[in-house]
Amino acid sequence: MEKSFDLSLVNDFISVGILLTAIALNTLERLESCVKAYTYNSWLLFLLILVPAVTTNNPHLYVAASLTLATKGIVIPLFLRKIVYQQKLVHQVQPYISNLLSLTLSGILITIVYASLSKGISVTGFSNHALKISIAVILIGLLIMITRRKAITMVVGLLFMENGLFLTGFSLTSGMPVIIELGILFDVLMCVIILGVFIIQIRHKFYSVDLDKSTTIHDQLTTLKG
Amino acid sequence: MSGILLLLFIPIITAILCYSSYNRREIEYINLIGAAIMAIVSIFVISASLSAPIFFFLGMFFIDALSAYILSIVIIVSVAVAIYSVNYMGREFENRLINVKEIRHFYALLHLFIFTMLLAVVSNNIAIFWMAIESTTIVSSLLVGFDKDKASVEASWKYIILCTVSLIFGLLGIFIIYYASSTVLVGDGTLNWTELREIAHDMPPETLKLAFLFILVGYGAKAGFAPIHNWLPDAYSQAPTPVSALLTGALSKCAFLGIIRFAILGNECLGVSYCGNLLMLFGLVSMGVASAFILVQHNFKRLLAYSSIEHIGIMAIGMGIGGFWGIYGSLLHMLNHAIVKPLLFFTVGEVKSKYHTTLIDKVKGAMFVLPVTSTIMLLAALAITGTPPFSIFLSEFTILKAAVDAGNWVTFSLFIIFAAIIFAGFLRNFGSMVFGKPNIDHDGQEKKEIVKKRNKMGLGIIVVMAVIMLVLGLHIPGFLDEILKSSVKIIAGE
Repeated sequence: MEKSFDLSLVNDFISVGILLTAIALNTLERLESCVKAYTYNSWLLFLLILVPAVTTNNPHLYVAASLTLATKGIVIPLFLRKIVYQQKLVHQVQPYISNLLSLTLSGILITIVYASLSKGISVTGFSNHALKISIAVILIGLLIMITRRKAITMVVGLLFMENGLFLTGFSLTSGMPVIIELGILFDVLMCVIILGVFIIQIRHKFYSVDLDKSTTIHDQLTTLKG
Repeated sequence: MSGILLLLFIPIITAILCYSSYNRREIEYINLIGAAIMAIVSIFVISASLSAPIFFFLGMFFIDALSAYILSIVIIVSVAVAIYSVNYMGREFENRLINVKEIRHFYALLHLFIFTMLLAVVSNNIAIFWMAIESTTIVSSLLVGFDKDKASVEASWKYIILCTVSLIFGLLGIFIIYYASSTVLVGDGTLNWTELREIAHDMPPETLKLAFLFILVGYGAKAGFAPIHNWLPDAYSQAPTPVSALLTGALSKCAFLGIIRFAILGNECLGVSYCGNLLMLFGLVSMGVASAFILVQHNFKRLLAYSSIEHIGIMAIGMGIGGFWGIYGSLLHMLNHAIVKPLLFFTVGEVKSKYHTTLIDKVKGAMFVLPVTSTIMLLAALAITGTPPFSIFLSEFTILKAAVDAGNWVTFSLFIIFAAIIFAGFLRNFGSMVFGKPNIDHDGQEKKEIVKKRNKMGLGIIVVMAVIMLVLGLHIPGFLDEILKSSVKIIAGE
């Protein structure tokens, strides 16, 4: 009994850490720091899976943890860092809204999640807060995607959403079958690589990865001239 | 079982062979032969699966009548696209717009795309279905951005970001279903759809409602439902024409299959009204948005993209009304749309490569420049708006009959209004393209012998599809009726 109590406490600490890295994303000014925040987030996710793996000695959880570390903790951050360093442009994030407003919105999102999930789905003894935090991380990731100008910050927001989703899956079900986790991680990896290819192409075509400057196609609803 | 494995491996092998060859003619032959073998093998697989569902790989994959039906749609569209691609890409190559390296990439990606769709259709495990749909996004975004110019890179960026974000919500829905199943089964849950269906009665209804909402958003974006359709006009208009045809003909049906599967689970637990009403709402919104944009459109590929949104809406309305005829009409509409819309894309692809524009205003008198193609284009445009005696009229009429039977007059009247607006928009735009005085020179003398031969092949597939379009409007063959009835039985329950 005492051991499981400890476990839940450790898990709560780690999930709060995951939430904090997501909140920190709201105020980070440089692209490098965003990638760093993502790396910390992934490592915390790895720890969160590792702790129950060690306590229950479940080989399936070890596999899930090491896969998370390999893809989300190492390969994707290295790839993103390479793209950021390749850009040779302004490394500022340049959000549409001020950092203060962004932080406030994140706070409101977290409050809404906590208020709406206070009853309803009961979590199977894994951690009291992991589910709420995971939904909050997904929403903050979405907020980051909407309010940032650069292509790469969109990808970082997407990755935060993915991490939040993994946390949700983990806290709801304490681990999916390994083959599913492997497949999903592979999909995420491929997705990030393809998005990286597109970021490079966008830079070549538009000489900028500012998505504002790259809107050329839209519905032409006015009469065309000529 | 071995037949299904073979069917899955054929597109992969074709893709590898296309990638490893450096000769254009060789690649084109590999593409055609691969598509032909795939079609032949699929006939055996589909006919074997009609009597009883086939399971394989620990029950993670299976084919029942419903997936066999969608599978046949995917195969038909893929074969047509494989034939048409030879025509289209060959012309791009001769105009020096692409080189052999890009042709290799194109055919390899095309067959990988077909493979991911086949994988999605035959998966029983809902998470593997999700992975396959996510892989279709990844592969087809490379195809959408194939031209590598500003607009197509932007379109594919939008496509992959929007679809991935909504698919994240779809995966959340899958996690919630898994959680619901683990509360029923006590211990490890299940992700196999057939097992989920058996325990769906006992699942907590509120949880299932939440899961269905997430799934509807996730796969709905991929299928092209209205509030989350923003990627679709850009992707369809910027992709090479064969890819647009494959996206609208096959991919949107695969995504819609995911929604149907979850609606079945939802119906088992919540009764038919919850999922049905949501589908009907999304369908009507899609039709409304599409009708507004079709009326004022200046680009004919975007026009067809909005028409795809309309038709996925019609399928959702049919599925939402439910009952035997609603579901029957919706399923029949899938096949009809999968034949008529690629046909329209093929014909406008011919027009586009003749006039070098996608703007409606700049195309005049296509009837005199491309007589056969534009006649079929006009017929297909009439067909897609639901004019008798073509196939789409039959399925739309069936859906409307179901709406009247259910006493659903609001849906009925909105459907009629939107369909009338879309009819007007189509006729105005396509009429101005087909008739009038030609605004380009058309002398057919510069055609080389080889170009002629290839054009014959593209024209051949266009004529064949037009014939299918007409025949299905007049008569539904017995085997089609049988497979439709057993699919309806799966969806509506025994």
